[in-house]
Formats: sequence, C-alpha cells, structure tokens
Amino acid sequence: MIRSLPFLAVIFLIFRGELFLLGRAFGPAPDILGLVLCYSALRLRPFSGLPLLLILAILRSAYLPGGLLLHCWVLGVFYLLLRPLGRFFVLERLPIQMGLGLAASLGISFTTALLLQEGTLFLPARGFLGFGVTLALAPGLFFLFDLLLPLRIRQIPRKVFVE
Amino acid sequence: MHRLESRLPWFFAFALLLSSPWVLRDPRRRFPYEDWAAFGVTLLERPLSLGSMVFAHGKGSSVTFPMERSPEFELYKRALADTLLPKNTKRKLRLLLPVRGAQGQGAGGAPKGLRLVVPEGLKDYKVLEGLPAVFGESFVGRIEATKKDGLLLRFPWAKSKEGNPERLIAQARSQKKGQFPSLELIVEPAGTKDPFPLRVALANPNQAQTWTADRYPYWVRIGESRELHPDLPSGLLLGVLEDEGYPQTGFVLRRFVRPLFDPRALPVVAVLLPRGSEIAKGIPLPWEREPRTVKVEILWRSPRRLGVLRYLVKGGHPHRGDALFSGGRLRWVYDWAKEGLGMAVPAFAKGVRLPALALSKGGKPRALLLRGEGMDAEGHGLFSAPSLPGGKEKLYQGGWIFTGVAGKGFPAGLVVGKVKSLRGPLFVLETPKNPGSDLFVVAGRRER
Repeated sequence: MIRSLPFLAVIFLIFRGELFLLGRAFGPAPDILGLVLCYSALRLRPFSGLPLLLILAILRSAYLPGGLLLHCWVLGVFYLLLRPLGRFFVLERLPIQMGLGLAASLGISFTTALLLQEGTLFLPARGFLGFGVTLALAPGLFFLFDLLLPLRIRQIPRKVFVE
Repeated sequence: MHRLESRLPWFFAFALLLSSPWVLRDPRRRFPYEDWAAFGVTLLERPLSLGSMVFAHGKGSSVTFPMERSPEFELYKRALADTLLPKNTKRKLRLLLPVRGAQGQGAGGAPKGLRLVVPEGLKDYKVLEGLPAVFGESFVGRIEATKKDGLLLRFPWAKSKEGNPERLIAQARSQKKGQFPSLELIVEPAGTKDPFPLRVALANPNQAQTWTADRYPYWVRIGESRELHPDLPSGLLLGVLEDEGYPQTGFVLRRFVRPLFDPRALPVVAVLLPRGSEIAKGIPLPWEREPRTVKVEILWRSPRRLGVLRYLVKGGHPHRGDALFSGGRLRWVYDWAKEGLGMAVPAFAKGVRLPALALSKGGKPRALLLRGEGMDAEGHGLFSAPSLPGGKEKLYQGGWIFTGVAGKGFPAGLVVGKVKSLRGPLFVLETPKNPGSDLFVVAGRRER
C-alpha cells in the first residue's frame, strides 16, 4: 500500500494538470485519466485496479457533471472491455499502447456525454487536438507508471511469444 | 492470483449490470455520502489552500451581512400580498407561514407535506392544528403540529395522523362560456402510482364529457358539507379535472384532480383562522424577516471550453442544492457541498431543479418547479416547467421568475430572471447585465 502511494500522488497531480490544461494553457484537453484507466485495466491486478477506478470516478464526479455512480459505471464498462485485450496484444508495443489509450479516452468521453445529454464532455469540447495529445502522451505515461508501481501489484503480461 | 481476485471482475460486471437502470434513468443522481468523497479528493487536490480554511471553519469567525434584495423584490412582495391577503378579508383572519421545504412523497409523485417555519412571537402554535391553509384561491391542505416542535402542512392527498384520508365534497364547472353540465364530486387521495394526486371517488353525472376543446378546463371547487368538512369555506379551488377513458366513445374510466400549483414550489401559505382569533396579531409577514448572509470566495472555475461552467467555492456552511446569490439575484446552485466547500453550477445547468414563483405580466403568481435546460447561444438561461400545462407558457412571457423555497439555504424571493422569450415549451430568461461582484450564501450551520 505504502509503495503505491507515489503512484496515487501522481494520479492526483495528473488530474490537477488535466484540469489546468483543459482549455487553459494550451487549449486542447488531453484525457489523461482515460489513459490511467487503460493502464489499470491492462496492467494492474484487480485488487489494485478496481480501487484505482473508484478513485478516478470520485475525482471525475467531484469536478465534472454527473454522479459518482455514473462515473463508476462508465469507467467500469471500459475497464471490463479493455481487460481481456491484454491477452491478445503485446502491451510493450508503443502503437498498441497509443491505440488502446485513445480508444478508452474516446469511449469514456462519448459515453458520458451521451448519458448526460450534455456537451460538457462531448468530443468536440475536448477537441481533436486534445485526443491527439492523449495519443502522444500514452507511451510516456505507461512507462512512468511502470516505473512507479512495484511489480507485486502489477499484473504479469499473460501473452508470451515463444519462437 | 488469489481465487477471489480472479473472480472480482465478474462480481464487478454483475454489479454494473444491476446498477444500469439507475445510471441510465438518472445519471446525475448523487448519493448522500458522495459529498464527503468529493470534499476529500478536493482537499487532497488543494491541501494548502483548503487546509487552512477547514481548520478555521469551526471557529465561526465569518462576518455576516443582511440579505440584499433586488429592485424587483417589490413586485414579488406585492404579488404575494395580493394573493394571500385579499383586500376583502381582514388581515387578522389569515396567518402567513413561510415554507421551509417539502417532505415525503405521496400520491402522483407529489410531496406529502411541507415543513413550515414557526414565526417568532407565535407561542402557542399548537392551536393551529387542523386549520385549513390556502395559496391564492387554492386549498393547499391542513396544518399539523409535529413531535419535533415544528409545523407541517399536510396536503389534501396525504393521510392525517390518524391515518384516515380526507374526503372532500366538490363541484366541477367548465371555465368556458356556454351551457355545460356541472359535476358533483367526492374527491379523495389517489394511489401512489396514479398520475395525479387526487382522484374522484364518485361523480354525478358519471359519464359527462369534460375534455372536449369547447369546454375544457373544468375547475373543481370545494362544496359545502356539514358532515365531512364543516370548517372549510365553499368555493376554494382544488384543481382541474383530468379524465382517463376512451375519447372516441366518450367513455370515462377514471377522473383525477390536478392541483393548479406545484406542491414542491410553494414559498408561503396562508392559514385561515377562526373568527375572533388573535393569533396573527403582531406576527410579521414572511418577507419582513430576512436571513443573514455570508460572503464566499471562488477557488477554481472550469475552463470556458467545457460548456456549462462549474465553480469551486469556499465559505459559509452550505449544503447540496443551496443557492449562491448576489444583489438579490440567484446566480448558482451547489452541486455538492461539505464543510464550507462546494462545487456550484449555474441555475440553468442541466439537471438543476428550482422551486420557483412565476409572475405573469399581470402580476399573478404561480408556484412552479423549473428544470435547467442549459443556455442559448447568447448566454441566456433556458428552463422548462414540466408541471405547467402545454400552452400556458405564453402567460409568463415578459413576466418575472423568482425563487420558491427549498430549505434554509435556498431563500425565496431571489430573482431568477425575466422571461425574455419562449423557445417552444422552454423559458428563455434574460441574464442580468451587471450582476453583483460579491457572492453570498445564507449564513449559519443548519440541519437538512
């Protein structure tokens, strides 16, 4: 638990940065929490990934429209959709990390906007550039999280290629 | 991996499946303890700026200010005085009691009652037990004294303390000119799944048509009855007759009565006192007692790019749903709030519900529940009023909308806006050009 505290601190800092970046400093809004969710679904064990999902949902419900149940539900749906993909893809490959991160980010934004019937988290609100930045940040963040999290609470990649 | 851990995603998927109806039906629903979670993460996000505020919170050092009112508040006072204290009745025969908030859920989705404020100077308020109360011409219910030293208005569709539903003798007449039959009715509380809060137990004539365009609406007024309600004056309005049946054959299955006010939005009720009563003597009118307010500070505002703005605000002791105002105008409403910290959204944000008093251009008030529907391209707030029958919106074009009351932190009489125009069934409310710079909430720690 104590060894995962730096990771949690980074999550909080990232969220604050995301709120700052949203339309303030650079205009586009990267969905970094979408990337964190993607990482937790693909890399973390359920005992670590699900509490992290709850923290992400609380952060989103505090600052963005919608209740905690809604954010838990949306993040949970994409967590469960992404989780089995870890078996079929080699997660160390950068294009795969970028593709899955972007898919998670787009899916979360679109589903939330659809359920709330409000343009707040709608795709145009985040902007194409925002999703572009999300895509570009994905490999770096995956690497950073790998460094911060002890191997014990990470999941061992299940797909092993043997020549 | 542990066996339980390997099954955890399956349990989680099952939980998601079970919660889907709630999420899809009401995605903005917040649970009671969510505010604590939101407060906790916000404190972790901004430990330095918020820590000092939270530690200073318990000392109660905040300075309070008298409530500032807008110039339009005079319109509000005049409209309520004309409605609740008609000139032909003596002032002392009516006691005006401000409403604190709604309580319970009864027939037709309407609340069972309203919590009332016991005015200062009213010592023996238990003598009010059982007295009828009105809002304008409408009969709104009877007064009950609660165990917690408070007063409650029990609506006609709620059961009394003894558990007996009240039956009322009434007459229904068409409001259109012409020779149409009138109906003699016995009205009683409807069931919880019925569409309207009152239903007709017996009607004479049983199959008279009331819904055709030439004769609708039929207004239902209380008749005289020495046996059932000897204390109720005849002629008080119960609502509009609404029928269920087969329009092609003219066969009526069931009849209901829809009240002309939204029971969730009444700000004040007038108690009809018995002749010779001296209770109302010396008791000030509800709008003469103003709450104290406390100034709040904006910590963070969401980027404009997000669409509807959200504001992190600190100060006071607000609760979820409380109002933030400046210059007597309602500005924002708390989405969540805990320990002096809260996230506020504009009153027109989607999902916000405002108890309101709409004044028509002629100054006639109507209690409504407004729903925020976002804003238009010019930044004016859009609101819908689901309880207002279709076509009635036109009556309020050019009129004013004020807040009703929803607890101590949401005071009545704040200006929501002037009805600039109508967009279909939506009200377009004019945004004030020069809203005050300082923001306030009602002062004082309070229970919900």
